[in-house]
Amino acid sequence: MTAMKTYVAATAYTLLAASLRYVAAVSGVHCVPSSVPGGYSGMNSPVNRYPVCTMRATKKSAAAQKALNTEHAVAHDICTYLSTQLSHNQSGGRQGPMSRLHRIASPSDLSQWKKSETCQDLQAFVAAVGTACNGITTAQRQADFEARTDAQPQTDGVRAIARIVDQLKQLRALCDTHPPRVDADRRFGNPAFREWHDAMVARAAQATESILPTSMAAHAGELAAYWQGSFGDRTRIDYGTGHELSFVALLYCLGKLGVLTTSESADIGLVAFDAYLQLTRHLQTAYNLEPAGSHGAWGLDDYCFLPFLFGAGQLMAGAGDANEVTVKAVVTDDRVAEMRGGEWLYVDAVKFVQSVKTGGRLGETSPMLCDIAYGVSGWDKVFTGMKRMWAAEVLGKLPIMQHFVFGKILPFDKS
Amino acid sequence: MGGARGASLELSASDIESLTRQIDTLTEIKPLPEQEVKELCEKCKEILEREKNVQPVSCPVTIVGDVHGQFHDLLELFNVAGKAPETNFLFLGDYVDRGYYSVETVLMVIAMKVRWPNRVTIIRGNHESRQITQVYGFYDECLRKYGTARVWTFITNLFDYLPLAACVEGQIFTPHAGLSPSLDTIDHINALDRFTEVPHEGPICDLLWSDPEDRCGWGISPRGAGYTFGQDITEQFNHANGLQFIARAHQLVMEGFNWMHDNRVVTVFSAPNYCYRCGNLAAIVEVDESCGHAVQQFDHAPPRGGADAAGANKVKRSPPDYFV
Repeated sequence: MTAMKTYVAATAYTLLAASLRYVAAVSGVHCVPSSVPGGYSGMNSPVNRYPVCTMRATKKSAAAQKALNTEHAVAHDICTYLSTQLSHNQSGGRQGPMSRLHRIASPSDLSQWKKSETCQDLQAFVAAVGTACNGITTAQRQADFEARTDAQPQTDGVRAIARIVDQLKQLRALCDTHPPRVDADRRFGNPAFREWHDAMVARAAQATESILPTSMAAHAGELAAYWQGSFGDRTRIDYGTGHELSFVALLYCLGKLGVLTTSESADIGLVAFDAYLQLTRHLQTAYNLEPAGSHGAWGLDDYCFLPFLFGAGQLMAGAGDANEVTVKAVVTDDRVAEMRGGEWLYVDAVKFVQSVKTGGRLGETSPMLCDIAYGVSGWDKVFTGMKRMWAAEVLGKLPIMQHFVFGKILPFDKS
Repeated sequence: MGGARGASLELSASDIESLTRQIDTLTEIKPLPEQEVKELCEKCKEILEREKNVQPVSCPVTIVGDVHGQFHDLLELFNVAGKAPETNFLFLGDYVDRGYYSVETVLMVIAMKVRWPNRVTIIRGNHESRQITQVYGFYDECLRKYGTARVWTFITNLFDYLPLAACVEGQIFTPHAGLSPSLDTIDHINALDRFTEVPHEGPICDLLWSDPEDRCGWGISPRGAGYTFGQDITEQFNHANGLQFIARAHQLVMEGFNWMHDNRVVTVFSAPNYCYRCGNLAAIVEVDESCGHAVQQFDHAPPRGGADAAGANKVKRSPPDYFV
């Protein structure tokens, strides 16, 4: 009990410091976001950038004053969010009143959200990443990325992805500092995860600061909200697709800020996301994280979604057939599952499911993976299906979206 | 005679014959025809609507926690506990969702209830609900195994009739999940109108969603429904109702059982290797003739093979509509 109080206090202090730093940063920079129109179909567009949320300086006109007020409101929201987290930790798991950053609370909020520009934009982002991975193996892209990190000068995008990978490695090392407690297996979910989570939260603002170029440090606080939401729930000791969404939101924000450009799209899926996947798999097994909102046998996967979407992106447009990785072979050909995981995210994800699920064949433990293997004619259809399913089952589900936080870069303004 | 008290609907010889056949069919993990599911649910409703919200149960009886569609493990449980009618059963809910065999599992407990109404007690878990089953697998499973949602409708309509809790010899209170700040006594619970879908809040919701906690008093549940309750709350409730202890299910525990609140609450979880991956043991609580209790642990059923990677089940392979 004493130990518990100590780390809660430490977290409280760090969160307070982070929120103060964020307010200071935000009030020092008076700017207003404005979206540049254009979709993600612009993979081949002359301007090699994601639609950027530009920050232009404001003069003290009426409009500017309004913008400034919005800015303060956002800063206030971040504080509310952080203090909610604070009281959440202090009370050992009580959920505080809904902060203004949680904007989806009802089915009507949700239907507005599904029609919103941001929701469409997030889908376009994920689709663009999947498309950019086409025909490229994970191993090849990672080797290629290594080479590009050595090139000087590094672009902001390459630097950001390298930092993300580095921060994820640090979080992995943090698991060794907070090893699972051997005496605590009476209840599901190892309580040492809470210590790991607190340590992760304590480093969150620092982590996102290191990912951003110095000139954009003001956004570190907002990004930290997504970073710290990416690794499971501290109270429930669980992990699911909502946490995965939080990590994608972080990457999306880096795209909106113009830090990541479309030349890094494949790196987003095959370098940054793969590194994230490796860490979250370790967390799941090391701390016995409960699958959050799992459909059990009847879902795509207990914990994650996007390796299947990005993975289908890699294999569509003939790439799977050219590499002898057909939709069916993933579950029927043992050699594919055994040997090709390092090349293709989809194969790797199925292989991981097979390694952690025991007691029945794949047809019983994961019937949907088999239905797809036997019933879907090619990777193009798998990719399209995954995009639709992610939109409906993740972005379109209240139990997930009620926990999602919105801010300035990733806004949702209810009418 | 042990088991559930009160129900006394006469079964004809042909009823007994068809129930015996249905239980055998399910034991072989074969589905029942839709029409038989409908009739079984109707018969079960007739029995359940006469039962109390807190159904009295006599000892000896074996208390079973969450099963979650793990039918092979339910058969394993019968190997450990014995079968009805030689063994009396009290099932604490969560028959469906997550596992591959929710249909078979829930039909098995329904058929057992209809066949031996005085020896088998079934109560409602938070997953015995239209809303929850549409999210956690049972609805999808019915669609996949029957091609329509009619079986899901028959079964979820029956769920509204399930008792909210049971009480063994007036000494062991057994809700699916826990206590409620709006319910001080078992009489209060018996006064509720339970024949409805599980509400989002209030006493019925709490009985099906709350969790015991180390912290004293009532707390807000991280689940978003029900409450957490501390040892002081448990002691108060047990004292006011003259109880020995509370036996409940609802939470995964690695050993299959877990005593809390100074041995005044025990959690029983009967789905070993939950979700095919959790590596937990399962347990049951056996209450003997003199109301003494013993916990029995058991492990999951042996791994099953099949002709191909998809397994040898006969369900037609149809990917979700997203992929069509």
